[in-house]
Amino acid sequence: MIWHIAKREILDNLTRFRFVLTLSLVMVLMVMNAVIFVSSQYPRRITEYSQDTNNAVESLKKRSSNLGELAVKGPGYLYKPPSPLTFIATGEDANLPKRAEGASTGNFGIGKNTPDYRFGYSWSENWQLQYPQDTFRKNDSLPNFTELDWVFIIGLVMSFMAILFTYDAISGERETGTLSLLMANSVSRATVLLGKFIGAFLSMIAPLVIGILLNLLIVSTSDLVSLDGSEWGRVAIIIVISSIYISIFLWFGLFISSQFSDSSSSLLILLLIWIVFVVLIPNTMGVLASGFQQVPTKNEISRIKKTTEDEIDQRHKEGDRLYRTGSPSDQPPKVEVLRLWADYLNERANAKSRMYDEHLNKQLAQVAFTQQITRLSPASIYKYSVESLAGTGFARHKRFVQQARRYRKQFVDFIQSEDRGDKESSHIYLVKEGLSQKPVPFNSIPKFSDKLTLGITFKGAVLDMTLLVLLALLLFMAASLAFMRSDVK
Amino acid sequence: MLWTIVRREITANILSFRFLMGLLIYFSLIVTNLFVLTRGYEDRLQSYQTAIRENEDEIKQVQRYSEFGLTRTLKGNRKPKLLSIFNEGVDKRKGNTVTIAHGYVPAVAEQHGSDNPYLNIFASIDFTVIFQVVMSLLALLFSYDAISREKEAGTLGLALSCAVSRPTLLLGKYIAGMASISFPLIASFVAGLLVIQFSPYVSFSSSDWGRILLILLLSMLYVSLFFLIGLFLSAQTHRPSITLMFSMCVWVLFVLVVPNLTVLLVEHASPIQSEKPYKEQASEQWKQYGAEVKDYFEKRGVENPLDRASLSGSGASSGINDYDSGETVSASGFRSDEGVPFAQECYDFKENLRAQYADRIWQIRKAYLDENPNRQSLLALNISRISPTAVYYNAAAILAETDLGSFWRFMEQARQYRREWVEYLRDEKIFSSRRWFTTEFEEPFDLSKIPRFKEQSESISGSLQRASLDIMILTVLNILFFMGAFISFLRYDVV
Repeated sequence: MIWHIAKREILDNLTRFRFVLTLSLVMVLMVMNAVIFVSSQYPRRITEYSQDTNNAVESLKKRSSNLGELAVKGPGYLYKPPSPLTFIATGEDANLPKRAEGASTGNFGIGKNTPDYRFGYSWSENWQLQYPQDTFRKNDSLPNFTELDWVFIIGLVMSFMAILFTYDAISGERETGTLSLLMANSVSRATVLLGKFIGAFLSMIAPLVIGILLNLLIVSTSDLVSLDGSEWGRVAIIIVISSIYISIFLWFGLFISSQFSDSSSSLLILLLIWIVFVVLIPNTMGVLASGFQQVPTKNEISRIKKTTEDEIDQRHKEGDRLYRTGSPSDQPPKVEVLRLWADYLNERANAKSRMYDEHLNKQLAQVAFTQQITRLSPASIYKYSVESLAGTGFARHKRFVQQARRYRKQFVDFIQSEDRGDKESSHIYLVKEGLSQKPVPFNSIPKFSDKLTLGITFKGAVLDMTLLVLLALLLFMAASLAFMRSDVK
Repeated sequence: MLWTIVRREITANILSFRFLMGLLIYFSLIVTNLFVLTRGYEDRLQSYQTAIRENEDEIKQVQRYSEFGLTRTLKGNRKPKLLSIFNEGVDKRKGNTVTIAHGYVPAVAEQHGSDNPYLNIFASIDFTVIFQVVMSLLALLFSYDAISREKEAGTLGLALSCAVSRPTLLLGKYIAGMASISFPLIASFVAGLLVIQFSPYVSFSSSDWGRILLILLLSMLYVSLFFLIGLFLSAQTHRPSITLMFSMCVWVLFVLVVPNLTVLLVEHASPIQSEKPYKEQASEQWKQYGAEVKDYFEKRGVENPLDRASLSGSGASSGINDYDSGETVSASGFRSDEGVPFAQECYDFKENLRAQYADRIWQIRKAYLDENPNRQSLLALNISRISPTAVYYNAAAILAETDLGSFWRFMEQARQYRREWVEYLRDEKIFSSRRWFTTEFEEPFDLSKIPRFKEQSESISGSLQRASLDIMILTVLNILFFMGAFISFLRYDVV
């Protein structure tokens, strides 16, 4: 019986304008998305990424001629690899930084000729991990816009269509009087509701699947994009999530529809609620969050940085200890002098490094907080789960930062163990002259990598996926209960 | 007769359930949002005031004029626009403080205040966005069944069998519909204004009131357009459910798809070129500058301006960053003033030349900006005019002084301020003063006369003129759809 009703609904839908509308919209948007991605978006990003990483490797090679130098100057720029699934969820990646920077920033020197000093010495600040705002998007005066990815097509357009498919499912039949006719037969209400759901669901999924197949076909024919097994697995999970997401709106539409006796009222209520939850909540919360949790201003940061530096400088230069004992560049180097300088340089670098980390943590916490609030909206939950699986967006960026910090430690460990192998070195970390001056085999230097696996992405998406399933169940129950108790006339 | 119809329609609208619910939801949306937006504005206003104060503090701490070259530069701060509450435009995104120095022509602005660029991943919503999304939908929902439903119910034939002409009926429906929509529209405006007025930091000037009124009128024009589109579509079909689908299709396309799609297409079809060659050109210029300075010093037989002075300490920090350069010098412990006038001459030459080079390099940078990001933005803006929603947003941004054009105006004023500053430095012979590099040799040091940045806001008529194209587009579309609805209704089969 369910299938009978579902079949009737599907046949009815097929002849309706809304089906044609959905099919054509989804097809056009999906094809456009794939074409833009394959012809411009991905090639440009991947070219930029490989240029950037090549430059980084070149400069790392140059530095590897001397271990001490490498230890001071650091591993260089660390780039976040672009995800080949960006066409599914861009995750505003173009507005997020594309790299972290493990480089030395300042050069200093004291002159020999100045009467106050007994020696000349020039040095670079020890490297720290910094987080510059260098993004892929170069033009910040373009009007605000949302990228045309799957998240947009399904999260926004399809959820809207889901409402158009269900707003009159029950209220419309009530209006025309066919509902009581239907119920006069030996069908249970549950069967009717389920049949209506399945009918609407299938008539929405069919256009979506056609659109997705076209999209994937175009994407997979491109030479540049090659999806491996893990990525196809992620795409499959995303399709499952998308259908759960669509069913949320279908159940919601059925729920509201069962409450009204005229379809125009149910439509209005559905649309207004849709606007609030899908369009407005995901977007208004940015303002709200920046009001609740303050992040220090740029001026404050640079002031704190300066006072910290001054304080450290003053302490170490007290009585000109640092400048009078001798230069680290003396031949042969005096261990006592090297210790003094290493302490000074380490303290400066560590203090600054801590400051950069804390500042970034505060900024990231603010965004995470905002995301928590936006989870009020099913569209946001959907977006975050798909982004996690596609390996884009904020969660992915956070992981990149973590990886960069892990790599920082790995790099330091490498330098120290490499240094231990050189008997001529005085093993004082970290002043350039206190470490080995031998070249480092380039291949032995650990390279930064940030690969995503199916497991990692799935773990990141589990929470949001659970939320979506729960929401779908909740609305399913709400719709069933409401329909059970409603009047058929 | 017209008024009878108008009255009947208004009563029917106001008593309907959709009106009530629409009003309720819309109202709560506007009020909560404006509350949040006003808070955001207050924050920005405070950080603006802090920025002004910090600039004054910096000036007070200056000991030698050369500090203005690099370490304690002057700032031009942009006051957050009060009407950014109504339309945010680029007000928040584009930065609001510029550095002013003789070796640097301002081209980009930075952000003062609580700064979290990661929040850029959230689009922000202002009054105008709520309006363009919600009100357009409401307008369509009010009008999609205006004709086809009456036909379905059979009342259309009845109404027209009386002494009512078709134009009267259509006009009556339009006036009544607009009146019913205007009610929530104006009410929300008033409620919004009340919320804003509660803030202790806000005071509207008379020009603000004028602009608010203009934005209100513009919003009416926008809503009326969607109402007419609905009316037009309603006169095309004989079943409201079909009209509804058509209206929703129009809505999704105009409000959601087209504005995003056009920018996306422009970004990919007309990308901006790399800035590298321009930066290289600029650095070439700075090299030339360095060579010219070196030449001059060689001719005068020194390496450094202070070489002939007998002094015990000197320091300099200098920097060249793509398009900008600056240097701060300090010298102390002069044993006599021998060599000092010579140093003054040298610095006069060096810094005057730096200002000239900065002007030349600005032309290079201007070429990049004009040919790349600015051209792309203008292109995106023009193409997005396909959608009335984008037209409306742009016109509202111009009226709220938050559009890109207003930002460019601010940058132009900042550059004007820099010119003033360089002229001041030259007129007061500051480059050639001893105070440029040392605090010794007492000299009067009065920093209160230094010119300060003052932003001139645009006159209302100026804004209106810039918005006239967008307003005209909306008006023409209104007329077109009215005529379309009119003609289709004249030919409409009423039974």
